[in-house]
Amino acid sequence: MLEVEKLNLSRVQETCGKQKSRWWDVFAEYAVHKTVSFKNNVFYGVRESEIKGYGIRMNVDDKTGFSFCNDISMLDAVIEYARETARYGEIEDYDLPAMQAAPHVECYDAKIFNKDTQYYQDKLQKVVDTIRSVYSDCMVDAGFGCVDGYMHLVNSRGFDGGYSYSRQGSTISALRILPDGSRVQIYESITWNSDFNIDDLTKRVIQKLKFSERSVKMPFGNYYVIFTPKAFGQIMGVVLQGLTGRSIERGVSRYIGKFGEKVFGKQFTVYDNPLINFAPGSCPFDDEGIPAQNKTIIENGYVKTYIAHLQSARLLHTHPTGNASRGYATLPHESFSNIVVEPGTTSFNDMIVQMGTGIIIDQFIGFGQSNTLMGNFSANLDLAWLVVQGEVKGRLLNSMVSGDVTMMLNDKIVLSSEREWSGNAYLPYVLCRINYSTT
Amino acid sequence: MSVDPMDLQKKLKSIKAEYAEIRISKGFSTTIHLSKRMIETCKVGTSTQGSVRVYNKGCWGFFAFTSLDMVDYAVQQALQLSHIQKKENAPTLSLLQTNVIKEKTKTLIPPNAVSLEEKMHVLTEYNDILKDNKLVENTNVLYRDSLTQYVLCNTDGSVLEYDRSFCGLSLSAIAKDGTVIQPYGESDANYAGFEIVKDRHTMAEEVVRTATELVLAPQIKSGVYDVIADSKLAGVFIHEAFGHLSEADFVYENPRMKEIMVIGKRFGPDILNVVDDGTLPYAGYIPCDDEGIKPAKTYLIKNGILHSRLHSRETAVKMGEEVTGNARAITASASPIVRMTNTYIENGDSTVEELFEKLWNGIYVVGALGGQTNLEMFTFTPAYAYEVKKGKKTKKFRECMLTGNVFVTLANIEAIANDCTLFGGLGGCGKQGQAPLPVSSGGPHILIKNVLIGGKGAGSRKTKSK
Repeated sequence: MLEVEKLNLSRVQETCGKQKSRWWDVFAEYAVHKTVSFKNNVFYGVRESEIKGYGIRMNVDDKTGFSFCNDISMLDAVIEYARETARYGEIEDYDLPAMQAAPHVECYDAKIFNKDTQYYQDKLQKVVDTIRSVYSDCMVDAGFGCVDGYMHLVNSRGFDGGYSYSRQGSTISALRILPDGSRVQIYESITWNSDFNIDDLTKRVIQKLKFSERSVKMPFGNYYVIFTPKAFGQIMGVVLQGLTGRSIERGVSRYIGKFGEKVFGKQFTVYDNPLINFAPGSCPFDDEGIPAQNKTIIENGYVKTYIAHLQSARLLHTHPTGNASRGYATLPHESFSNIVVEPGTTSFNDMIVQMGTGIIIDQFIGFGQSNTLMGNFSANLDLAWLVVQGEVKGRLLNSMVSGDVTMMLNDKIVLSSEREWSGNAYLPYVLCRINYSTT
Repeated sequence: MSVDPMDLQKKLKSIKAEYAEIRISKGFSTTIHLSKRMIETCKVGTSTQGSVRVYNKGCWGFFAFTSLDMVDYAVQQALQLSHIQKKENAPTLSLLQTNVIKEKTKTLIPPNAVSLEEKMHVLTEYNDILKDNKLVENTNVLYRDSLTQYVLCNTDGSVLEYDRSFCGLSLSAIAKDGTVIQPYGESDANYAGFEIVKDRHTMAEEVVRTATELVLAPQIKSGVYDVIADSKLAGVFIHEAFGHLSEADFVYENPRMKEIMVIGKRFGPDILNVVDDGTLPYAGYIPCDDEGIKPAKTYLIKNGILHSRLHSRETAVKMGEEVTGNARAITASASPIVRMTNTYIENGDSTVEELFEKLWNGIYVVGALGGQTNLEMFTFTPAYAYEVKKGKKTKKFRECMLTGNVFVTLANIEAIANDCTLFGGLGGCGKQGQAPLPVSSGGPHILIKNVLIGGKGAGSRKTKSK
């Protein structure tokens, strides 16, 4: 565990405590990173870093200013900057939270730091060897590393709390150039606050390379499609856009006037749960000091609630939900913690059979470039496979899909019984229909 | 605490390494973000970042830090990490160029000479223009400046002392009509001073006019069209479709990619010339790259033929090609990787009018919201589009996305106009988690055949040129 006294928090607290202000808070971060990487099948190097930073918010005459630094010797100057910017800040006449009981959630596993560099090298060498034992022409890039981190928040109302977090992550990229000259690149990654089995990632990569051995075509049209959890994670990004207090307060959420109404299919239930032990988005309290809590965002297709931080909660006359997120150099913004989608009862294999003929989509290109505010998306299919009569026939090239998430995730969708973590989301496979275009 | 390059050089001399570099930056930045209803952000801050990178027998050791009192520790740590594994026959990467450069960005109005009050006043004027339309639901006025003292020293004897000033503005409006929500924005940024942000009222007027027009415009139907891309979109196209493919780190150790990207191979028509040039005074300008190598005018495609590619010192040495000065890092605490600078298509031999005459029926795509590539397929998103009938712009469309195969689409370039323009902005390029790196891209108007456009519904072939 890190030596937290290196953050000099008592000095920060003492200096800020002398300031004349309505309120202030200091967000301090300290993290040590280590990553071992392989490039093009061979060991490439080791990267380490040690990062510290302080972000200071100061509310003077109801207006909030902000400044930041890495170096504690700059503290006095930074406090002055925060005071100066407060002259031009937004009116924020809420109060900061006092110290209160926070729920317990496991965020730190010291075991992951017992491994030396050789451990990571051996694991990555095994990843490369396993993939190349099946596809000897495959070029594999892979990284494996960990973060030993600590965050601390102090404020003028007496909040004085912090927590340690551990993070372990791995990414694998496998590239093949097929005999027809087409390029297949599979990405898999995982982040977890404790140990995980990197062999599962390797198996997934090999399975997807097998699906991609041949290139196939299908004509344009409206088809059944199965989104893998990785692809569905991007769809969920569009679903959740507009479910923040900020977007509602600004009038740009498509859910305004629809809370309590049925917008999605009856099978669709979504939680924001920061209290899952060792999950990447877990925390006992948010970055403004509000205790973390599990929330139902969408229930059986009905849009139930949105997330809010202190400022948007004040403007919308509601309560903060414990979803404020910030780095030392940024002001708090609303951010989902761990997104959990309720599973269905159909297995992925049965889903493929049920689909008959259709597409499995795993990776997009350009997904976020659409007008997602309206729930629309258009994206090229980076990695997608044609399924005919329940059998994967090959990879689809030169094609794209487009649609509207609300219309797509209707009562006819099927959710798989299996779920996988994709980033900070725990998601099933999803079967629905989509518009497919091709050259 | 200031950074003394002599001191850093002494530290480098004290270690046994085939190649090593120390990079340190100390910066001061201001960010202001106004929206329709509130001041979202007004912040100033300081940052200290640095890293040491050491290369020994094919192994890189890297240590990044945020405190200047960690430099000695970082040197020792990076050195130790570089000895973790030795590779047989690893090439030496040292003594490629020695450059001693001391440079300061020329500014007409240094950002630190303008008070916060004055900055707020100017930005509020723009925000007032954006807000002044009943269809505008929200606005975003984003301003950022940064003043950075950057020092690079390496074991080749190169020393860069660069006092840089970066300044930029982004204006956007989100229009709403019933259930249709339509954003539109424009941005400009460069190594410059506050002059780049002043007197941009016309830009604000154009943004609000376009956003409120687009919210009432229909959506294009998906299908395959012949298209003319304007200068801004031609730039995003060449950045995504070919610029990334020219980055040698995707090629240098991959035998199959080397076969595909062999110098001398035809990729486009004779009229196609594509250049990356970090010496030009746009957002991708660098006095030298983050490995101490000077940038150059590098022809990626000359007369339709693959001419050269973009290199770091490692990729150049391993491929036996000349360094090009394209190793760039987003910050001093990030590792340099192969990146573009200012990338553009050179002028062709047609006028814009001739392109429309040649297209006759098709789509004219304007502006750029972004782009992405997987080095085989690419997407780029125009801000809006027009239907072209009998060589004339007609109906305007809101959002759509263009996509295609890189090699097929380059070969499908039918004509190139002679109005090359380059564009930068507050956004930038992203690669391997390093974003947004300041770059510019551009070109003249170009005519491309058979482009797949995603919009409404499913679709196939829609238009045929004259």
